[in-house]
Amino acid sequence: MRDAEEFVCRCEEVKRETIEQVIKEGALSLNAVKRLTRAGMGLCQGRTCRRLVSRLIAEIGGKSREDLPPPTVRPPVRPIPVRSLIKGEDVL
Amino acid sequence: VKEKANVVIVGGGIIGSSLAYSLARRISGIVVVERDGIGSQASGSNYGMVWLQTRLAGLDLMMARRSLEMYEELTSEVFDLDIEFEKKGGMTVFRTVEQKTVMERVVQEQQKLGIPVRVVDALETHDLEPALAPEITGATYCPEEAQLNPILTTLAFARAAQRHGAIFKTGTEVTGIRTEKGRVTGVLTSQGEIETPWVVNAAGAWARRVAQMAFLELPIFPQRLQSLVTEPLAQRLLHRVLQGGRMVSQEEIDHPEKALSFAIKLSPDADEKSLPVEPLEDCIFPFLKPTRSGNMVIGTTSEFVGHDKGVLPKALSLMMQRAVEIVPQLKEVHVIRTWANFVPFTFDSLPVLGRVPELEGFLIAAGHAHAMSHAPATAEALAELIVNNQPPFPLEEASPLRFRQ
Repeated sequence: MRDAEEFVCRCEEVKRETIEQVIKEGALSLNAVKRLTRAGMGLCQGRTCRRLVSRLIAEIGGKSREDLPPPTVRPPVRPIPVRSLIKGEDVL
Repeated sequence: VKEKANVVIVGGGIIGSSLAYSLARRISGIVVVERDGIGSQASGSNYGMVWLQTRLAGLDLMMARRSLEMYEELTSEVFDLDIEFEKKGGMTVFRTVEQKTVMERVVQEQQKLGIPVRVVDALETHDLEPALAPEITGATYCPEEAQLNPILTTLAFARAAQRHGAIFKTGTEVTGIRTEKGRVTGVLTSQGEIETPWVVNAAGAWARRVAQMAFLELPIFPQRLQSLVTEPLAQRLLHRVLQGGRMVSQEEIDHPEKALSFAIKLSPDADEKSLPVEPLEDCIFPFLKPTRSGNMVIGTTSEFVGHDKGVLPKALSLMMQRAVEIVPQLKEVHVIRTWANFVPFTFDSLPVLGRVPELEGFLIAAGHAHAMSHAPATAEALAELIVNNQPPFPLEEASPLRFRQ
């Protein structure tokens, strides 16, 4: 199924057509797509959609996936409870 | 064949992008050279706030006011993106009687400058933001203050500039400034040379390095701000930006004018070694921004560590301790992302705008600690300076020459 209405980034509910649009306008990296659409900014921080977005950039932008710059990965690796952070637990 | 431009702007942040727009409306041949992507440093990772209550009398306040007006016009008539501009006001909340006493006197001074800020009592404060902790006893509230999405605002300026013919060269690093007989003649980049009579240094927290390429000393230093964002809260906040009242000293109680600004005052000949190194506990300035998506952006530290982009668990912990004292339901959510960025710091907290006498054609538009509050006005002023040799308002206060007295 490759419907334009399907969600590529489920956390932020970003549709495939939205992502395709910004890639066509020149967003040729995961960071650029993220800044424009919020894809990858949600709870899972792109763990689900990163590969899908890369594939779209590669297909539409005519690049190979290996050539794409890696996205900025920011800690934490998993969402951490604010309570743990406040207590100063070793969470990052 | 060498590329040619009428103006080359170094830096694709909010200052470079807004200036590209203001210039491209007036003349052709505008090129922005950006090492990374548009808004990929501080312009893409700040709190997106147009403050009035933290502005200083003079150019600082005037440019913030003018920028606020311009954003309204830009959002309705120019931008093709929704920049999430909302004039819902900002609040500085407090708990103690001492804090209230100081803030009341600060507000009196600000009202004399015509800033529409007032002290609101506990009832009104909690009415304005029901998610606040019951211990909050009041706030200063300025309904004219606005917030926006800083990434989208930078992109909106860049797109508007491109519609007027400006060219953005992203992924292109400036490596040198070519000069001849005291005049700028070109810019060397990682992708080749561009011939140009004008270069604008809009490199934000990296402006000093760009100035050094032209053998100029520019005392703009990176100030690190650590931030985090939480998942959306169950109880949405009313989208007003909150600033935690800080501890007040006896000195501030006796001399409220000293509490007017958060700026660190240093002498004009200050260099890197003059920058204060303080314990982390004293570098925390609680700041909460409810975003349109429901996530809470929380800051901040204010540190001088060069260009070290690290985030420290201890800093985040201290920040969150202060934040949950303001909005207790934050205890129930998760932190999903953390980051640090650099805002440019100058000794008097004002930006650096204008020409330098040593090098004709070299202009500085950098050092904005509050670039979102100042960008549209900065852009108009410098565009007029370049095109008509006459800025629409005096820029002396922000002159690069003030560092040399």
